[in-house]
This record gives sequence, structure tokens and C-alpha cells, in this order.
Amino acid sequence: MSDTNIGTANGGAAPEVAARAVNAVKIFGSGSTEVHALNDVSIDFKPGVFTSIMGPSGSGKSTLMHCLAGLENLTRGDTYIGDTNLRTLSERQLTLLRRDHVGFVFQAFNLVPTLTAKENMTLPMNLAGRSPDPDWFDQVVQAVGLADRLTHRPTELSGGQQQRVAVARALTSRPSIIFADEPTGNLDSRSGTEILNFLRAAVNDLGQTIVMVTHSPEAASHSDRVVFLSDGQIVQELNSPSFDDILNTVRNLGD
Amino acid sequence: MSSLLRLTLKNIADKKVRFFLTTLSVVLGIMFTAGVFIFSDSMRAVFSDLSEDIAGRVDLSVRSQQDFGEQADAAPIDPALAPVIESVDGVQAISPGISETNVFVERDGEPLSGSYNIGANWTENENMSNSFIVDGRPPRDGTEFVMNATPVNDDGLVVGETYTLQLPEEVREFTLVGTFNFADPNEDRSVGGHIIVFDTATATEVLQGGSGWDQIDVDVASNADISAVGLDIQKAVAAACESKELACAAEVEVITNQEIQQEQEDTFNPLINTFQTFLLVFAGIILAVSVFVIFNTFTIVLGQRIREFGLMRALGTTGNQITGSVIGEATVVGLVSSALGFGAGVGLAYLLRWVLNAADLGPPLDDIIIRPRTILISFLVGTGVTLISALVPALRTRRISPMAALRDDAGMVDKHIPKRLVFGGIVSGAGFIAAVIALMVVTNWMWMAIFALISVVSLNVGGKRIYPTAGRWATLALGVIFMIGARFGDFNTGEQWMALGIGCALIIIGINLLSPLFTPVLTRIIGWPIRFVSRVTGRLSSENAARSPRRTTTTAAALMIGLALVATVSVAAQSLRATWSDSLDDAVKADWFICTDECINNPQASTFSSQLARDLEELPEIESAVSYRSAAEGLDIESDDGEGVNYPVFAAEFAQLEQHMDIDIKEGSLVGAGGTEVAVHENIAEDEGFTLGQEVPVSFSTGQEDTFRIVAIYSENIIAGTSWLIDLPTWEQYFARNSDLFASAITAPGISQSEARAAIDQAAFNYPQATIKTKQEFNDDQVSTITQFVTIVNIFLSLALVIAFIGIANTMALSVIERTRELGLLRAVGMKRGQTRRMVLGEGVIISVFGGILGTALGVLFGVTIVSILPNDFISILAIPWRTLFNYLVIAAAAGILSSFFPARRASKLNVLDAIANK
Repeated sequence: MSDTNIGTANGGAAPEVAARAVNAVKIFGSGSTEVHALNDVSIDFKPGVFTSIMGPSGSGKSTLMHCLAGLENLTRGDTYIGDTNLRTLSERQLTLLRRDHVGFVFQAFNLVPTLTAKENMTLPMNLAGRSPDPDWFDQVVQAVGLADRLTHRPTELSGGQQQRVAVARALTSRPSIIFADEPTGNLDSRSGTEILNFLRAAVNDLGQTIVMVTHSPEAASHSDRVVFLSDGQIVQELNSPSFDDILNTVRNLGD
Repeated sequence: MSSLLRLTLKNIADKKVRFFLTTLSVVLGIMFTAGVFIFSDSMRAVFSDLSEDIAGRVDLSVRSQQDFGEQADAAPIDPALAPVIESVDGVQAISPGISETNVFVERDGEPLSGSYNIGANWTENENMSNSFIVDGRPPRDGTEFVMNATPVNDDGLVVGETYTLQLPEEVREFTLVGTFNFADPNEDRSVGGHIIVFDTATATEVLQGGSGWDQIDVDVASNADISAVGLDIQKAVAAACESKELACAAEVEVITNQEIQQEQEDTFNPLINTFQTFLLVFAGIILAVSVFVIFNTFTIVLGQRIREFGLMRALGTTGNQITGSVIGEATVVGLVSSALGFGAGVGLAYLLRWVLNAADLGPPLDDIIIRPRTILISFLVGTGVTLISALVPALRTRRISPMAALRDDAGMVDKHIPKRLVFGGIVSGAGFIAAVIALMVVTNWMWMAIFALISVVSLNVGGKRIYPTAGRWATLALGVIFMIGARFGDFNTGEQWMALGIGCALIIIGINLLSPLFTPVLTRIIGWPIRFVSRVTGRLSSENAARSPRRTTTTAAALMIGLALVATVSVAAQSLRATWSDSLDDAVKADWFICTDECINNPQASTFSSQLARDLEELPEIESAVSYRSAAEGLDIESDDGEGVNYPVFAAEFAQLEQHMDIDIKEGSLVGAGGTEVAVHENIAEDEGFTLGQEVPVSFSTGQEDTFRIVAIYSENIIAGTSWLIDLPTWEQYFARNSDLFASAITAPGISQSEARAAIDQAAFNYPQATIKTKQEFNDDQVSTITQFVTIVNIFLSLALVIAFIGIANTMALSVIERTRELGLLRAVGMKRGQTRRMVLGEGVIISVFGGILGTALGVLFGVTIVSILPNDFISILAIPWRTLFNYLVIAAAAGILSSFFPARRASKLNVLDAIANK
């Protein structure tokens, strides 16, 4: 079924990097309205690491994530998931790559309203005509604490619960990498912290690789590594930073 | 309000595609309506001109009087009357008039056929002649003919050449000696007809069998008073007949040019009117189905704009202003679609004219006539239908709260109906009483309809105060009760059909109101098989169809109504076919049938000489042959209340009839009968209270009278039908037409089928109109008339189905727009384009099959009820065409795929990022 051969988080020999961008350039518009969203960005994401991408609005952080995830094409340069250069993939192969090797958590509207929580979690695997490994699925469900909510529809769940289902969906197919776009942006602080703890646990306990785009220094403080973008370029990088470190850097960058 | 109007117009301009989809169904409905009016007005004009041309330049015509029935059946006029008329004061000139239908010129062995085909005589008198020689000269003797110029030119006939002509009783060679323009010296105004003209003596011989003329045309001196001359002619003829100078077969009448013209128009107009009404019924069905499509589109589109309305409310717009602006939008949409529909209708009329003229069908339409009435109706109906359909969704926008602007999940809210048991009980009780009055008390179909309406409105208004869905259930129950009433109740015919109509309508409405309650279950069941093909997308298709039950139901309702009608027609038609086949198998015993083109008892059909049957009788290969004739308005009897009642007459040779045809005699016998001894159909006997042996005074179209004695009562329904059955010699005594409608023959013992066929073929060689059919072919011909009719009806009903599928396409397109973000999410987490497409197509199929199953089921129910209500002598066998119905379902499913093709493509091509970002 799969056209791409990439080691998964828990199986096979993990490659050196889970994802990377090489001299990535993304230009929107043309002529006088030209905007350089990404301006020669190169970055590696190692397996089992929780990375946050921060930066002011318009800094290119979402664009970087979209290009890394195969949702958007670069103008120049390359992005890789594992050893696969996304530039070489067709639209169909990109779709299959997303389905089989990439997990997503969005800020809002993460779930299909007509499907139950369980069906939402297994959706990418079902789309591939597969069923999740029952033991793994149980483990994920236990981890996100949704065992008693599996048959509920999204409208019957709170915002925090919906987002937990989204995280569980991203984990269920054991992707090479999970991209999270402001996953706590729509949540109150308690639910937000809960989600971040799950993501942290996924990295610590399950060896998952996560890349998260966020505005919030508090959210970013849950990650192993914080990358700062400004005007389409990487301007700073912190490893295992504290909340205060992040806050200072943000202030210095003038967000 | 003016800023709101600007907003309204801006909205329409912004969402052109969406509004185009909304208007499409109205455009099609109005196109059809306007097209029908324009086309029939144009036909009327053509035939009015033709009637004027046929009346020609003759002042008066003298002919045999015909009290009822076809003028073609009138007795011929004795040429000896000519000098009598000519000698009347004020008569300037006279001219014989002869015309006969079904005269053809052959080219390459095939008859050339026009919109009508007549043979006539040449009018020598130049002041009276309505034919103007273009080329050559008039015919002079029995070897020559002339023909109107148009077909001669079009078919490449050559003046001076010899051609074979098919005449009523023979085929013969004639030389074409000239061409003429009909009715106008400069232009042949024959509107597609073929007119073959002989000199008067030849015409009398070959068209009338030498028996005289059809009429004598009179030119009145310019200084004389036409009506006074007419009276004088009448008197002179009466005197001549009285004095026994002449053998006057029948009363003679004198009619004016005006009357001839009117008579012609009266023969054409009912046909055009029937044609118009028939087509307008389908236009009505199309528009009724459109209501659902427009209602749905407005509901969805307004639902999608709910946050915009909420914002306007928050900024201080009143609910009524919002509703007003929505109604304004609907009015603009209605006006625009009416205009487009009207324009398309004009186009349709031109297209139809082009097709008909190119295919040489019917008379050429010169002018396309657009009456103010057509424009008015197009705009009134188009705008009206749009407004009615948009009214409920528009009124709902009044209740949108300003909070809708701020909430993500805001939806339209239905008005909350407080429970008021006493009020509800009283109103429902009144509704119940109205239903009882409609079914038990009133004896008139109109009152029944009025009380049924009161009943259903009261039950709905009252019912929902008691229990939310009580009114809907009551509507369905009322429909079922009326339908049962129609089947088993003791009603007169009008009430019975009204009860059936009310029953069908209420069942459709009730099902439509109730089905949202069952939609989720039903769509999941229908979608279940799809999940075997594709588990996830199948599941999503079902769930998407189930998520807004009312939208799915309304979309499917249009299809349901269309298919219900189609299915009703097929059940009734299949039952009719089965009944006819069965009756024909019992009735028809002869081996061979000789007919003109259509072998059915249609008195308007052409006939052939009775000599053929007599020739067949002489053949050694044939044991016996029988002639059949019929007249739709055959005879009059006086009923109990002194009114005249007219009945058809069917004639055949009694002596041999029963060997050829089992007419299913219930009482009495035809053995040895003849003369004034006749048989009547059991329906007539029952209606008139006739008993065996009763003597009944009858009168004929010629004015003759006699007394018939009923010696047998028969019940055969298809060939003889509800008629008076008389012996052939009796027919010849009272009817001028002595040619046969059809004839039957029985092969002599020991003769093979092919020998018999060869012998009949040989004998029929000189009767070009006659075709020979076996018993089976004859039976098939009878049944094929049903098939033809059903095919035509289905073609028009399929237009309603097209509208229904436009509705499905519309709903799917709007749903895809509405679910843009969801589709983006699905694509982001790995749904392939193909899967996305299949998911949308699956939903379309589920909606179509949903409507298809409901429609087919209702159609079967209606069809079965209609068959059981119709009298047994019309339909006695219930036959349900399961295969055909199943095919309709398959077609519905396929059309569901087709109509969601573009929405599915759009869904699969959505840019994933745009879709997620769409807010």
C-alpha cells in the first residue's frame, strides 16, 4: 500500500533524522506583492525529540510546518520526511505519506463531526484499509484517558476532550513525526496543559517525534528544543529551555 | 431599506454560480411552459390560416347534412342537383367539390407522405378556384394529374413524367401534367400537405367510386345577398327532391364560407388544445418538483450565511428587515429565472420548429407567435414558484439571534411551539370532523377537496400543539384513509378520483414531512452495501447523508415525486397491457388481419375497399373473411330524460363473425340475426337498462330513423368495445362510408400459413393501404398503442426527473462548500483524492436511492390502487413490472453518481491548506 519506505517511531532502524529542511525557500505572490515566507531555512528534527517552532505572526513558522508535512510545496530547496525527499513525490504519494507517516493536530476543527471518537482516532489507518494494533490502540486510549468516550461524537465532547482525540489520532498510526499547529490555542489553560503533558509523554514514553508551532512560551517550555523564526529565517535556537529563557528570547525578538 | 436592497443585489452578484443553480430548475420549468404556449399559439395560427385557405374563394357550399359524426361519412351529392342550384337567382357559377384522404404518389415504389395527403378535383371556374397553375396545365382526362408545387419541387418530381398513384381502391399510372400553388398565386400555402388533383370526372370515378360529389360550391353574384341566395338554394333543392325529379339520399344543407372555415378550425383546435393541456400538465409537474429544489437551495444558502445575518442583527438590523432582504433576493432570482426561462422557451419553440421542418413532420410553422399572455404567465408563474419556495426559509431568518455572529455552531432555529393541549385538541377535533364531512357527508368532489384541505390544515395546526410530530403523522394517516376511501368507499366517479388524488397527495406530503425522522436509519441501511466496497468512505457517505435529515429528504423528495409518477404509470400500463393481451387471446380467433397502417379500432384511421374482403372470400386458400367498420358517433337514442345519447357503432358480418372473433356473448345469440336485430355491449345495456328482446328507436347522422331489437348482449372490450354491434348489410343501409376499417380471414383446412399468406398478398396487391398481419401481430398492434402512449408520458416525466437530479447536484455542491474545512482535514490526515471523490459520489447515490425507493414504493401503491379502482372491463389484471421498476432504481442510482460528479470533483480538488484555513 505504501509507496514510501520510512522507519516508524517504534519499528525498524530509525533514520538519523525524522524530518529536515534544506535551504528551504517559499515565496508567495510575485512582483511587488512578493512575500518571502521562508528565506533559506535549513533545519533537522531528530527522532524522539519534541521541538517547538516560535516566532511572531508572519515569521514563516506555519509555512515551515506545512512544507515539512507535505501540505505545501517549496519554491526552492528540499524537505525530507525520513530519507524521502518530498519534492520527488506526486500528489498521491504525498497523501499516502501523510496518511502513513505523518500525524496532525490542528488548532481547531480537528475531528470529523460524523464519526465517533474511536472512528476519528483510527481514521488514517482505516483510510489505508488497515486496523490499528489493538494493544497499541488500548495503550494510546489509556494514555489520553478517553476509554469511556470512544463511542461519543465530537459534538458530545468538550474542547479539551476533542483535542485529546486529535492527539490520540496522531499517535494511533505510529507516524514518523507528528506536526501540531497551535494545539492548545483554543483551550483553557488546564486543558492546554493536559494536552502538552500528553505530547511530552508521547515523546518520553513512546519515543514519538513531535514538531509543534506555537505562540505560547508556556507551551514551548514543554519541549526539548525551541527554534525561533523571524522574517522567514531561523534566528535562534534553545535546547531544553526554561519558561524564563523562552520568555526572554521572545522579548528580545520583539514579538 | 435601500442599503439592504444594495446588499441583496451584491449578494446575488457575488454568488453567481450558486444563484444559477437555484434558478436552473425554474428556468427549465418556465422554458417548458413558455415553449408549450408559444408552440401551440403558432400551431393555432397556422391552422387558422389553413382553415381560411381551405374555405377558399367559395361563397356557399351545398352538401348532405350530417346530424353528428364525421362529414367524411356523409352521403355523396347527386350531380343532377347542379342544374337546379345553377338556376337559382343570384348564383353566378357552381363547381363540384370532391376530396378524399389517403391518396399518395409513389416514387421508387414508396408512397410519398405529407402532413396530409388528399386527392381532389380541379375547379375549372377561375373565380372560384383556389389553386393557381405554376407550371404545365390543369388535368384533362383520366390519365393526368397535377400536384401542388412544394412537394413536387422538394421530392424532385418532374412534370411530363408518369407516376404510380395509390388511390382508395386501386393503384394506377397517371402523368403529372402540371403544378400549382395552393391558396395564393405567388406561394404554395399547403403547409406541408400533398394535394393530388384530377379532372372532375376522373376524381368522381377514382375517389368516390363514381357515386357522386362531396359538395357543390357556389359563387354568388357580387350584387346578391349571400344568405338570401343560400335560403333560395335550400328551397329549390327541397322542391326538386319533393317532386321526385331527383333521388335525394339525405337532407341537403347550404353553408357559408364562414361556416366552412369555422368547421375546419373546430376540427383542428381541440387537437391543439388537448396537446397544450397535456404538455402543461407536465410543465406543472416540473414546477412542482422545482419547488423542492428551490426550497432546499435557499435553506442551505441561508444557513451558510447565518453568521453574516447574526452580524447584521448585532449591528441593529431588525429580523423583519433581514427577511425582507431575503424575499427581495428571491424576487430577483424569480424574475431573472423567469426571464431566462422565457427566453429559453422562445428558443425551444424555434428549435422545435427547425426540427419539425427539417424532419418534415406536420405543417411548417411560419411564424413563432408570442402572445402577451405567454409573457405574463411565464413571469407570474416563475416568480411565484420561486417566492413560494423561498418563503419558509426566508421567514426562518427572522429568528436569527445576534449571537449567531459570535458562535461557531449556530444553526437556523425553528420557532418553538408551546404545548397547548386544549387549543390543540379543539383544532385537531375540528380537523377530524372536516375529514368525516369530506368522506361521509358531501356528495361533490369539489366540496370534498375543500373539506379535506380544511381537515389537513387543522390537524397540522392543532396536532403540533399536542405533540411535535402529531400533525405530520395525521397528514399521512389522512392520506391513507382517503386512499382506502377511494378504493372501498361508496362514491360517485368524481368523488372517487378526488379521494384518490387527495390520498396520493397527502401520502406524498406526509412521507416527506415524516421521513426526516427516519432518514438517519434509512441512509445507513442504503449506504451499508457501499461499505463493502470501501469501508471508511462508505461509512462517511452514509453519515454525511444522515447529518442533515431535512436536507436529504427534501433533495430526495423531488426525485421521489418524479419516480412515483413514473412507477404509477408503469404499473397501470403493465396491468392494462396484461388485461388487453389476455382479452385479445380470448377474443381473436381469425388467422389473418388486413388493416391500414394501424390495426386498431380507430374510426379516424384510413380505410380500404370492402371488395378486398369479398375477393379473399373467393380464394380457395381462405375459408372465410369478415369486414369490420366502425363509426365513433354512430347512432343516437333517446334516453329516459328525453336527451339524445350518442353511441359508437361497430359493424361486421354476423353470419361469420363468431368464427373470427369471440365477442363474449353474455345473453342471447347472434345466430340467424341480421337487419334490425343487433347486439349491444353490456355496459350500454346496464346504463340504459336494456333487456334482451327490447326494441329501441334509433336515429342516424343522415337523419334516418329505425327501431333496433336487441338480440344479444356482449362484453368484448377491445375490438368492438362499448358499441352497438350491427350486421354489415344494416351498416350499408345507414352509413355512406362503405370501405372497411379492417378485415379478418381464416385459412382453409389443409393450407399452410405461407400458402395462405402468398394468396392474400396477391389479392391485396391492388389495395396499397392494406397491410397483412397475423393474429399475433394484430394482438401486438393493439397492445403497442399502450406502449407508445406510456413512452410519450415517460419522456415528459423524465423532465421532472432531470429537475430532481439538478436538485441533487445542487445540494451536493452546496454541501461540499459547507464542508470545505472538514474535507481539508480528511485530506490532511491522508484521504486520497479518489477516496474523497467516492465519498461524495456515495452520498449522491444514497440520496438518489433513498428518493428512488420511496418513489417506487409509493408508485406501486398508487398504481395498485388505481388498477383496483378502475372498472374491470378496462383493467382486470394487476401486473407489476418489477424488472422495469428495478431498472428505474438502478437508473436513479446511476443518475445520482452523474449528478454528484462535479461536486465530487470539486471536493477532491480542494487545496488542503485553503480548506483547513477556510473559516
